[in-house]
Amino acid sequence: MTDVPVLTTERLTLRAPRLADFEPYAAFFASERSVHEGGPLDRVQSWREFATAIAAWTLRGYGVWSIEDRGTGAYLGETGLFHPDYYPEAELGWTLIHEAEGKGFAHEAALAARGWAYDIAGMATLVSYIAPANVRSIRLAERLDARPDPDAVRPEHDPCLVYRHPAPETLR
Amino acid sequence: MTDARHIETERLILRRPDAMDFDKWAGFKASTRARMAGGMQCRAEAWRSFAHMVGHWTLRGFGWFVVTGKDEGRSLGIVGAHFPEGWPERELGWTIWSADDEGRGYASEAARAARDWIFGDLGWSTAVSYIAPQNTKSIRLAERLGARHDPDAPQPHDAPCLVYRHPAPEVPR
Repeated sequence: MTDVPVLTTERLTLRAPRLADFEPYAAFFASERSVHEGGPLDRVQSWREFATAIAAWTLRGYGVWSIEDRGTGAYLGETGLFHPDYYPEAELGWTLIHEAEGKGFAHEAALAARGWAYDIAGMATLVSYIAPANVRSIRLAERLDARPDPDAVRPEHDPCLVYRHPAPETLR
Repeated sequence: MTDARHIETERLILRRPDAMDFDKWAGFKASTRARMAGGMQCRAEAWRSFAHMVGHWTLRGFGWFVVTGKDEGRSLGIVGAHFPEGWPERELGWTIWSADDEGRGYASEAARAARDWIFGDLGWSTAVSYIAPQNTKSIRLAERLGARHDPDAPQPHDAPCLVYRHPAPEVPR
């Protein structure tokens, strides 16, 4: 497996997901709050999601990080790059557990993940797939200067909005 | 997290799955042979099950190996230690992907090596194999490996099957 890089921001550590993260992850996906992220999911389904996302580091050389509070070490959620075979391109995604919402953590984490994708992994573009009703994520995508890309190919059978992030050269 | 594992037998190499194995996996899951091994899947579903195998290694430190023939380097199937969420206990499993590669003792050779690793390196005290009732070849192999039908053992709730329990490691094999 590719060594997962550790990214540090002002308040957060982004590090490799591990087994201990599964409990808060599964609890989030068991709740109604996960409705825009494909939930709610039972524990068996959550396990498969979690394991599948982690596998990207091995299969693609990039993937998802678990977000940790630098101060307390608490698990806050996931962010990173999703690119299963059935996605037309790589996606920057984010999911915060309920307790971590409303503090700008997702913004801070997604910025760090995007920076790594562009500057270290050398990716040329990124999209975020967002459920049309997911107002919070749409707001975050806009704060990240991503814009709707109506011409982008969507994952099959997924009626999501496609937000395209600014190209790396425009951020330098 | 466990380091990359690599097990060698007389004719086979067992190694962790990698991106290059996906097409072969997707081909197997699209074939009717997959009916007795988790069910047939389209390519998108096969990606998820394949990635699940890969991520399982990260989370558990063990998982499915791809079984490769030493002579041609061709992948023949999978064997390994499997314990996803929702399973009552840890499994030793095996699948040969193509009928052409059956009947040569590959599954037996791979399963014995994987079981030695499970009881030795991983230190399990017991292992079961979950087998579809109509999968007579796998049942025969389980019996050749000394495993016995354990009618009292719980089954994975989403996959009704026969449970074969392997001889405990301290019993001479």
